Amino acid sequence: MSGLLAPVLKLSELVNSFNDEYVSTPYEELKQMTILQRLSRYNWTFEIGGILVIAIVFALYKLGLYYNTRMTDGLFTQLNDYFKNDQQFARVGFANKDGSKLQYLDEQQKTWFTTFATGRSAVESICVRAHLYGRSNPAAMLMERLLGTFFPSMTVKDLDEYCEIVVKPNGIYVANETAKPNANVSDILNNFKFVTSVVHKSSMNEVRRDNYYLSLTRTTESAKLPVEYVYMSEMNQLNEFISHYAPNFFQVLREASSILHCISFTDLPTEKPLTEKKWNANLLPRAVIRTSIPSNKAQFKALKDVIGSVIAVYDNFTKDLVQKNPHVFITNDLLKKTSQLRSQELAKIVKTMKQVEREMALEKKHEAEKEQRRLLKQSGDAEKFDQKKRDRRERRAKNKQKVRM
Amino acid sequence: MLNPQITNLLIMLVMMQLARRVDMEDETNIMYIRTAYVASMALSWTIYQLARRAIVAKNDLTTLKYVKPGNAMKGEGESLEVTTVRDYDLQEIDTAIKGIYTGVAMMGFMHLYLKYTNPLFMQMISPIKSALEHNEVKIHLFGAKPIGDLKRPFSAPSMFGAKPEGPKTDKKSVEAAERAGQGGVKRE
Repeated sequence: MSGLLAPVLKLSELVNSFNDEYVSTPYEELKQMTILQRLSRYNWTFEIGGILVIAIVFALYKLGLYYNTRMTDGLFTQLNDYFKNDQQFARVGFANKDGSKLQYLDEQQKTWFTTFATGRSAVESICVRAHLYGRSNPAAMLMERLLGTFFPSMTVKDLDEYCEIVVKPNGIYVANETAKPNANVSDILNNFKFVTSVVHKSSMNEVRRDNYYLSLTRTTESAKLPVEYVYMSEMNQLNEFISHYAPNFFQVLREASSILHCISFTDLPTEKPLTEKKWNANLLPRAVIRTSIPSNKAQFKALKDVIGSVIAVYDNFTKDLVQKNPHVFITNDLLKKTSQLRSQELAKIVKTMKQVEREMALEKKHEAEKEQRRLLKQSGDAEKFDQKKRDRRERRAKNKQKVRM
Repeated sequence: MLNPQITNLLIMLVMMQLARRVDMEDETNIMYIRTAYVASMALSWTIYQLARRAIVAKNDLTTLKYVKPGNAMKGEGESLEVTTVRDYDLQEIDTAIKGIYTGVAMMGFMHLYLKYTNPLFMQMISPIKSALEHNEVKIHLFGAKPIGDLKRPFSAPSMFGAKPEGPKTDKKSVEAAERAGQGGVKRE
């Protein structure tokens, strides 16, 4: 052990040696000196080193914050402009209490960023969340990287940089500014209960691991899709849903291949529900787009095009449903099948839940018995208790014999 | 052809015998051993890097699905892996490269800090042997076809010829795992 600590001891000796002269000065001599004389005799190397380290840490902290802010300023300004001007959202971003506009919110040392848009036909809201590295703490970032490299199972889920866009449909189709919105919203939204996605091949494992709804899908390749992507859908018939409603979808996919991880249309929860209550509480039709953080013009354009495609899917699909188009892609047959799959999945969850409850009850019973035995032992009635148990067992055995005879 | 694990064992025994005959206190010998070790590590690293370059250049995006056996130590069950041939190959080769770094760190600690030279001597040959016997190197550098033992996903070779236990690739297991709904589990 002393061998292992040798370098630390050496360093401590070196630091102490800086002030050998000051420490060896007799107390009487120090007493006679003025404060300035004492300060000048003291070797301040260690303290100056400490202050320099603190200054460097502070500078890196500020630099990290500045870098993250610069990255997200670019991203959110462009996205908010796109939502406002190109997609005609009524409200984009946030507002302060004093009424001033806020492009985005930042949290946790500028590592999480959020913006929001709402007020549009077919789309209830769009929420964009971006996660960036904690550049303000380079030491922690380095440790996380190292740990992630050598012990992947020890890393946390949100370590990478990514941008997640959640688009929620509202089931209302308005053809123009003067048109009246349709009333049968819940009926329309009932048609969004299915899971279909297009996933980039480099992210297949991660998205299946992180999203419950994708872990219920089949992975299929298609000659129509660009080679970098696969379909992940509940049923193969759903594979063409996005391309049916989004014009030039394959071209958009090709252009976004450097940033896009997945586009999913789902109503099931992201986190695996462990109870029926949680299952019901987390059913919400939405589209989820997950990408890397775009860093150049082409990638920004690709991201906007992907979001545009998803909005187009909701626009066209809602229009088909509201106008009762006989060639609507999601037929009642398909919905029946997806509903059946959901019932099966829910039954599995309920079964598991009941099994866990039974096991817990059994454990509780065992513990209560143990406690009773302990109390009886303390009071000296343990033998009586054992005798009772033996008698009961014998009686049961006799009864069984009688039945056999 | 002998099982690689058995040949490793044989090499180990031979090197142990040789190590007895070498004076590990002699500075000249130590320098030769250090040079040989560094050269061996550099060569195996280069072999892996060449294979890595070949994998990236090939960019085989064929989808690969298999059921990975669970880790009993961590209390994990079987899980489905969906990846591409390219990513699978890169993962395999990166694991091997990481192994070199870990080995170098261990040897560095033992030799430079604890002043042992024996482990350095023992580790002179096996890294190159492992690199040349690595499945990815066989496929991408020596042009072996990915069939039989080289069929992805690879199974760990068994030492005494027993049937190796590896990932399941049969349609039934893959389909069952694919729809098992194991994703989105909150990690503590």
